[in-house]
Amino acid sequence: MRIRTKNLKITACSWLAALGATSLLASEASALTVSRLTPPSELFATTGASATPIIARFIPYQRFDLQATIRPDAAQTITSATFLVDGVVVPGSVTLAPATVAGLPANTVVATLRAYSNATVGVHALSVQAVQSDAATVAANGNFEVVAISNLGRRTKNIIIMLGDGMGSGHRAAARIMQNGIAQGKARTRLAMDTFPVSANVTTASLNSIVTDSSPGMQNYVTGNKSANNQEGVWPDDTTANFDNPRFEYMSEYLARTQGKKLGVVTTSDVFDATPASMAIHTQNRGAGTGIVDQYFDDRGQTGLTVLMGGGRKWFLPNPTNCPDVDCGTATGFNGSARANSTDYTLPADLIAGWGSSAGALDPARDLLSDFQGVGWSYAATENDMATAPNSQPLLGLFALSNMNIALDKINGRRAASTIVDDYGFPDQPMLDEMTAKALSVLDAQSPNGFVLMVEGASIDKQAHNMDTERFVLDTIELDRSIAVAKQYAATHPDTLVIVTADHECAGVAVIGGSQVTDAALQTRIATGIGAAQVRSGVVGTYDAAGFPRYTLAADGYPTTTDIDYRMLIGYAANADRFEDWRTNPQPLRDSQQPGNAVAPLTSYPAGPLNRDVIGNFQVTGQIADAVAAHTANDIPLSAYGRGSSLIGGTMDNTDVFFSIMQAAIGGAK
Amino acid sequence: MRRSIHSRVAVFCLVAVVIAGIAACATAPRLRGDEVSLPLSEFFVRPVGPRGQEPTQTLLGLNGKRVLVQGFMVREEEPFPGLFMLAALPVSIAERADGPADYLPPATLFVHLPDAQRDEIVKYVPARLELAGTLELGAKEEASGRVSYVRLRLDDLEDARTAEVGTQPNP
Repeated sequence: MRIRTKNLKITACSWLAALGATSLLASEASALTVSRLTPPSELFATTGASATPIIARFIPYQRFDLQATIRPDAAQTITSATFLVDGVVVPGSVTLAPATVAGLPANTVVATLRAYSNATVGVHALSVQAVQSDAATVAANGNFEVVAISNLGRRTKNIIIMLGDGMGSGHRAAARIMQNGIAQGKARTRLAMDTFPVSANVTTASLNSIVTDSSPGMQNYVTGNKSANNQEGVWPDDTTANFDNPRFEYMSEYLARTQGKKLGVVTTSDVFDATPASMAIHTQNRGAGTGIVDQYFDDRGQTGLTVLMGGGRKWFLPNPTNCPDVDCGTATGFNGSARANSTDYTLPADLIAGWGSSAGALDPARDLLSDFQGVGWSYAATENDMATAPNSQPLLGLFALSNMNIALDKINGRRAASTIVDDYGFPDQPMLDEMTAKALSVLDAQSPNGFVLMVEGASIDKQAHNMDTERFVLDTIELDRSIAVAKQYAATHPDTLVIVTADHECAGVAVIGGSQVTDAALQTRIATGIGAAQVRSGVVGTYDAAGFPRYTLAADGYPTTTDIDYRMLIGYAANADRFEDWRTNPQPLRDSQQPGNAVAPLTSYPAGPLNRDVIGNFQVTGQIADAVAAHTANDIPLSAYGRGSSLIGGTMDNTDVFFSIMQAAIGGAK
Repeated sequence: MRRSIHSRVAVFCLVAVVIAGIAACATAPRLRGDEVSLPLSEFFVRPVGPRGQEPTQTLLGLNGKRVLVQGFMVREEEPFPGLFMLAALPVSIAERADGPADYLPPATLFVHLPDAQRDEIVKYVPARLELAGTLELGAKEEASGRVSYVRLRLDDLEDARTAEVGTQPNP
């Protein structure tokens, strides 16, 4: 019998066996190996050279999958695999499934044991031992940690996470200046998020990069574990299926299972998007929209989902998959559904058995809207629907086919200053603070044991990507108004914890100064087309020349105009090539052109950063080659208010925040 | 399904002839005389209803007929061979960051190149285009994974000549 090891052995017996195997390995070329051991660990990744940092951490009884990818020798197969924790065989069924990722040796298998948990606090040794068809064996070692929960005091009942997607310190500063202004060096009025008494500095790297996307950026907060970019609620694996990856339990699932808490998910993006889905969905593909929204519904009993609001109606409408072979000339045939088999989900039997999850089905013709309504959910398609929906029923709000419109465009629609929301076909979309208030009302009425609510200002990120300054700033203001609503709720419900944070920073936003000219003068300079000599020199004021830009607010709480004299100026560190003229972009609907506007010739308007603002001829060369600005690895500020906020502070990894929240919810806080 | 950026890049690189750009062609589509003008605003009833969008009788009546449509080419980070989208408004799609979470208007026309040019990727044109072709209706999952409802079949790329209206993108 040959024994091969990748990492340090745990028991003395197996350690001696490993020593013998090492010399044997040196003389034999062989493929038999464990190429992946999950949960991820530095112990495995460094082949035993380093046991720290501990990558995978859990609270007691938090569930997660154990998995190993095992490559056999040529012409051999893997016949069995066993997982051991601290040298003791983990009971339960280990499933061997073919590894389907391209490039792996023939007969490579993925061995999985589902829904394991451990209640013993401390670092644990994890190992896997596998046997192949000629009786040769292989083993590998890793580790994970169970973090203690202590009885510290009164428990937090309600948890509210106010998530500004992409919102770094630059975005917050810009919103503060535009919303309230600065007088002799002091904010005339602070943002609502500025009034939170507790702050922390959060690091945001994902499992596979210093620069995260929104999936790990969000889910790291609510699982305590790192996922790879594009993945949510799972670790990477060696199968191509989107929904079979090794899972770990969400905060929502744990607290629904153990305390009966409810879940609310509110966003201004499409509800399938990475941040909202990272509250409840397990998938390696954040783009698998059909399966994501189906899982919202199918596993609502496991997550406690009670409120789901945002855009994304396209995933909830039935798709007539046989078109155009059958008559599609009906309203149903043109409803805008985006449901497709390629983005849908089915789960393997071992996952269903282990986690109690729904099996899923490839069903693009599913009428998910009716499914929700059929089990007693209210459905709101407009702000008016939302406002009149009863608080006594779960609430589904889908206010656009895809992303909702941006705050600037929604406000201009309410002011009758533009037709953008009409052009999109959704003239009655709620503002995020209105959605937040409604979500709190519904959850408060239906959550005797408390709730977890995530509210996302999604387009802070999306417009920062576009380097569209005024749009990301107004979306930050919209989020801040929602934060004020959440804070007010916490003030009257003192067992509530409110956390304001971001999944990552987007675009390297910085307030670089203020304009030295009036808006009229700026337009004159732009019209010269000379470029930096006119649009940069003499315009961009730094230090003393920046002054104090002063915007005026309308009765609705937003600036009357963003094209003021001596405006605030924003720079982007992770910028793509762009032209800049500092003035507000009418995008996404320049000239507010209605579809089919018969006026000819219509003014053309380029869509990308290199194709707008070109008249001034001031081109800013990007440091990245992408078409739009990118996320950065910058730390982001976190603010906390309410019960349990005392557990927050200092410089924290985003996974640390999970353990603080769970301590507050399970063990309480002083 | 894993993201297939690399495969798309490979396809892109393998295409021997990337179309130089529709904008380089003449300033109006080659017409046969039987085209009917179809504004994008007349695709669907607005506002969009709670059960989704509904086609107009105008749209339904033009199924299978030649039409003339104006709009902006949707700018994609990851364009697909043989296919691009046309919207009434300038729209950029950041697929790498956001996938199908986008700002596409409900009335988006999926433009298919002729079979002989199905492997070619059309270069982005930052201007209003005027396209002529045959209208095709009905739900269909495209190679991009998106579901289309209204498609324009170009007989030839010559039919995709632009009518680039206006040169002042920043009024």
